[in-house]
Amino acid sequence: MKLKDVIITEANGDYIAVTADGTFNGMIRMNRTAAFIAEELKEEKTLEQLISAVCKKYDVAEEIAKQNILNVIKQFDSVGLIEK
Amino acid sequence: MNEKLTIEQTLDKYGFIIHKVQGTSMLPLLNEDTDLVRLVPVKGKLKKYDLPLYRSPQGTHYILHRILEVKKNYYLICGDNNTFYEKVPFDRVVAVAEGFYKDGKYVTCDDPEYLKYVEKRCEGSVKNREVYKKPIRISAEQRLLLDMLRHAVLDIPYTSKPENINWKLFFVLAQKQEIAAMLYPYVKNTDCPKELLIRWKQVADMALRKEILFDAERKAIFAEFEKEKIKYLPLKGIIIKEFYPHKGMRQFTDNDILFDTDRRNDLIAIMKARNYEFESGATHDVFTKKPVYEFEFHKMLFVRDNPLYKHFSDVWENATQESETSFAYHMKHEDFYCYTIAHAYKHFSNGGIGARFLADLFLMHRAWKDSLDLDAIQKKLTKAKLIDFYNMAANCAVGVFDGNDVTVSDDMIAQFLFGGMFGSMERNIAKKVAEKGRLGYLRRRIFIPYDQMRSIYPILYKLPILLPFCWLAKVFGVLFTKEKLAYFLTELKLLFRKNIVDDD
Repeated sequence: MKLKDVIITEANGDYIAVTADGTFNGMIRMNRTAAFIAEELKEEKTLEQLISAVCKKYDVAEEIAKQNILNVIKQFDSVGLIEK
Repeated sequence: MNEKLTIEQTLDKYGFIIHKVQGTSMLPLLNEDTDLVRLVPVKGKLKKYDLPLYRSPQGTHYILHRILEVKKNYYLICGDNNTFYEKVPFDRVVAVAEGFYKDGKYVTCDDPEYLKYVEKRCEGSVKNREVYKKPIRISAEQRLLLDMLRHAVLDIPYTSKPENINWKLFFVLAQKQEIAAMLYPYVKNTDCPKELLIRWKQVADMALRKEILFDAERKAIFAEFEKEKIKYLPLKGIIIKEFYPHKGMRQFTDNDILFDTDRRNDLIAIMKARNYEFESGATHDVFTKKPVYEFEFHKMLFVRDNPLYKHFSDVWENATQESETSFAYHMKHEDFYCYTIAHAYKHFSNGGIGARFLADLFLMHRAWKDSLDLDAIQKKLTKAKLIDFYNMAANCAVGVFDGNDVTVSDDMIAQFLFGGMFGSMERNIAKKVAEKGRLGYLRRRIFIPYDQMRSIYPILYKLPILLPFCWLAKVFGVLFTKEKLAYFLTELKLLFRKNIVDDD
């Protein structure tokens, strides 16, 4: 899976995702972990690759990483940011 | 060694100083090209109609205006040619005029002919104020707006719970001044109704989103300019927004960029390849694209017919290249500072400018103050006849943001608060109606002078004979464009309002 053309930036202590072409007419405020997952998803990744990247970065158990990743993906998908 | 003495040192050493006059604020009495003033140290409290020399609020330069009233802690002061008051604390006064050299002749300040002028002028200037200006009443909402703006600009928490505020009106006011996004973090902790807060949050979020999108798009466009070796120089909001404490605070509608006009066709090609709509203009080309993108590429800083043009036509010669290999340029800080003042003046003289400009000026000054060549700025602004406007703006900015309300009067603040769409239009109309009457105003609005028409229709440079057709085209343009027609109808409504001139 992969995110659409999304800009991720840090602003005023938050991480923010917006779409450059306006397909999503709002913005998502994220924490650092979600922003990391979003950055990873700028390129095509499988769920396994994402779990591996998050575990490596944050030194957490696979199950916790997987749960976090699925939550973040669900949020992105709900506003149409995941490329189908 | 011959060291240059300050005014204070000269007064100490010699007991007087003869100084030239700068600006137009003391016309018709003192002319900056020909007249000189003789100043002596101040002994005790000054009196009504004296001409004190005092330090500007930011301490950058000296001002000479007339005392209209002596108050308990300050003098109420006004230039003979000005329409706003200043409150000057006693300790900012460094000297007082004993006399002046006018047309080669020395006139003392107790000369009977001069005193007659003073009486007449001051009485006249009061009348003049009443004619075209509504008496100044700063509303509770306007005061709150300034108070919150000050907290936002200084990045300090706001703990007060304002009462008896019409929040809807406050929101409209903040929107009109383009500071709604900046005030949201402060409003959300007040008693502002929840449904209004939801709308307010949307405005703040949109401002932040727009800035993020603008920044990313500008970066991509500049990368293409670098690749194609096109010189570019960012202007206005792009630079000024960086002075604000947080991202998304300083709302701006478009990206203003000066570019190398020899490469205009290449620039248009780049923008069109990025799917921009293009509209050509006399001084700048406008490029727009959904959802929010707007870029104005300027060929020059001011239209040729604007008296400010000649003072800002050498921008490329004085600009600094970001690096040897880059095609990005920036103005010297002094030039950018003067340009910001000049650009604000353009809006101000057309009716008004918002309080946001005061914030811009204050933050720019604070960011650069240690490295600015203030003498160079003063010289340039004096030459461009902007020094009086600058004095007024700087006075206001320091008064509002430094929290020293002695230096700023409601009258002065109102000049800025009346900025923004509706207020500026009302003010502008009132001013012009006082000068030319209602019909004169309308005539001028329809039969716009040739000099201005040339800027709107550049074809008139080549074929001035087409002027009547261009007038016609302009009228049709207004009648058949929804927004322009709405604007014109509002203008008419204000124009024929009963008390546009002497409303109180």
